[in-house]
Amino acid sequence: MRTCSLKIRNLTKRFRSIYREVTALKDINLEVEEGEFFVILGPSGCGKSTFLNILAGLESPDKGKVWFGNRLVVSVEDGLFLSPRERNVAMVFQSYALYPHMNVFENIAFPLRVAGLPGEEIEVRVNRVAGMLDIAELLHSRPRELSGGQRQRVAIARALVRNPSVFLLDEPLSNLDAQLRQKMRAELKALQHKLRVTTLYVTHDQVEAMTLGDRIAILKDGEVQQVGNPLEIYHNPSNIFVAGFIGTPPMNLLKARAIMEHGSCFLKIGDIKIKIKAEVVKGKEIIMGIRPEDIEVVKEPVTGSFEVRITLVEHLGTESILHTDIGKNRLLIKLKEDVDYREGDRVRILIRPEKIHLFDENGKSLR
Amino acid sequence: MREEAIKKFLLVTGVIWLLIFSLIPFLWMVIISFSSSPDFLVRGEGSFTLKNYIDIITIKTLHFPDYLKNSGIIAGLSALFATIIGAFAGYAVSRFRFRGRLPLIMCVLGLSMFPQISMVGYLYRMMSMLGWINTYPALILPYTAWGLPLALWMLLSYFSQIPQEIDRAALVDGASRLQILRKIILPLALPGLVSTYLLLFIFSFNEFLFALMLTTDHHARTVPVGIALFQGLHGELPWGYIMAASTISSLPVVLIVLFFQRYIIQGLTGGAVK
Repeated sequence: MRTCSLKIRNLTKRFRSIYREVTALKDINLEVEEGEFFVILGPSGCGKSTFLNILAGLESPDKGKVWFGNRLVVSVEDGLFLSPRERNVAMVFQSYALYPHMNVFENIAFPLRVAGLPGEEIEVRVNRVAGMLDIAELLHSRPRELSGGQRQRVAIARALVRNPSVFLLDEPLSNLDAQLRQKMRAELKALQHKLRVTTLYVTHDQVEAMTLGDRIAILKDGEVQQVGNPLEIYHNPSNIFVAGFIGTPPMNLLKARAIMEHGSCFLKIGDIKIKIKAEVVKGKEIIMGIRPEDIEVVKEPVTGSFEVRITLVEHLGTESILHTDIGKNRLLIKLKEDVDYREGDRVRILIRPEKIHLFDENGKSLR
Repeated sequence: MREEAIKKFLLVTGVIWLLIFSLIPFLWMVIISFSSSPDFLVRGEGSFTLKNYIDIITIKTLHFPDYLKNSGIIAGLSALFATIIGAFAGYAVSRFRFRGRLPLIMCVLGLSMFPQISMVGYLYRMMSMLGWINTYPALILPYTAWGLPLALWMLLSYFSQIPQEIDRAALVDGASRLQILRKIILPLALPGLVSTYLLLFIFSFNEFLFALMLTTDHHARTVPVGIALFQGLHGELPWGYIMAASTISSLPVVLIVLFFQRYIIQGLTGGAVK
């Protein structure tokens, strides 16, 4: 399989209409290694689909260069823009985009037929990929006779059948129901692991990103916020956007003021003081981040613990989420077990200094 | 209940009246074509005969089979050309976001509103300069042009219903735009292509004015003009022949509409709802 790495430099794309100009991508720089499963994560409208379309050759950028391995495929500066067929990319679309008038075999065979491969080889390759994706019995059905999950498999088979150098997926699982999504997620991961084809996966679902990605790039308003492996991003978010986007429920972000007392640094939120490890300029307004799952509920009044009042309890069976208020901020607490708390109860909580994330007033991480 | 009954009664009488109103002329046409005297319905003279039909087919000087052949070839080819060109244009307009796309299709629509009579003089001059008067191209060319706006608009509405993501998938699969059109868009829009072709065929088959001006005899003259210019040897109007010829030439159109009515109605209203 001739898979290859990816290098993207200064990629910029603007959309112009009569009324306004929107910058969909701002100066994107990325490198994806050969065989890597790379996830682009971002909310809708962040430019992630545009990014994928540019890599596929469906849209041209306004600035920047893209390399597939050593081969330059896009360079606005040199006026170079290879068409999709010259790039050997494969893409799976959110709506699957199967050809409704062809049966499954012909759908999968289409890229090979267009490439002019001989009939016997097409047969061999289609059967091999159909076996791999467990759709061999469906080869003579039409797309409309298939379920969503089966269509998704056909779309993936069609993409993989010609050994693409880069495999692009645009929110492929978002049309499936939750159960099937989880199953397909695992299968997709296993398949990619087996084939080792360089994969770019676009999604707005942080769970998908965390479970699938070798590395993740988080995109917001056309700008890369952070690139890293899932745990790095979870533990060291580079700004409050990333902090709030990863994790369910999202990280608590509280406005605080730094104060010094007895030689240690504290954060003051309302009338509560929380000790922190880092040295912060005194009197400065900063944002404190704490993940709901990092807050401990304690029975005894240990040092640094304080009481909060529960305003709402979400029972999830194996876990529960307590909504509380501290100062003017909302604070969510995630418990590993579903304890029978009631609205209006008071709980004593402890926030450990090493679990605290600090951000400056612009939202950038202070670490 | 009574209200329902009255409503139903009004509906049924209305429909019957409408049917009588629009079908009586055709009935008259068919009856006269089979009677030995054109005054059959007025004076009650004459009897059933096939003579009119046999005559118009066998008498060489009437040239009716020639007219039928001319009409078939001219309408068939011009509808084909207009459908093919319309398919290319419709695909381009539905898929490419180029400047002036909307003005373009509006202009096309506007052009189709021109009355035929305003063009026929120039057409005549053009065709005589080209030396094409009384040839097939003299009619095929203007019919193709005349049918194009309809073809473009109908096919545009069909193509717009095909999601663009399918095109994108095919592009990524390595297909060229022409391959996409041939292997994916046209097969998917086949009902639209058929109904467009049939409508254009019917319009060209029935066209009178251009055919009257641009043809001079049976080498290129089409059925509507041929029938209108039927004359007996001594200047009298041969009603029996005219009606028999009209009946025969109505048949293709009636059959087309009967067999393909689903397609044609879809074509006329296609894109209106969605």
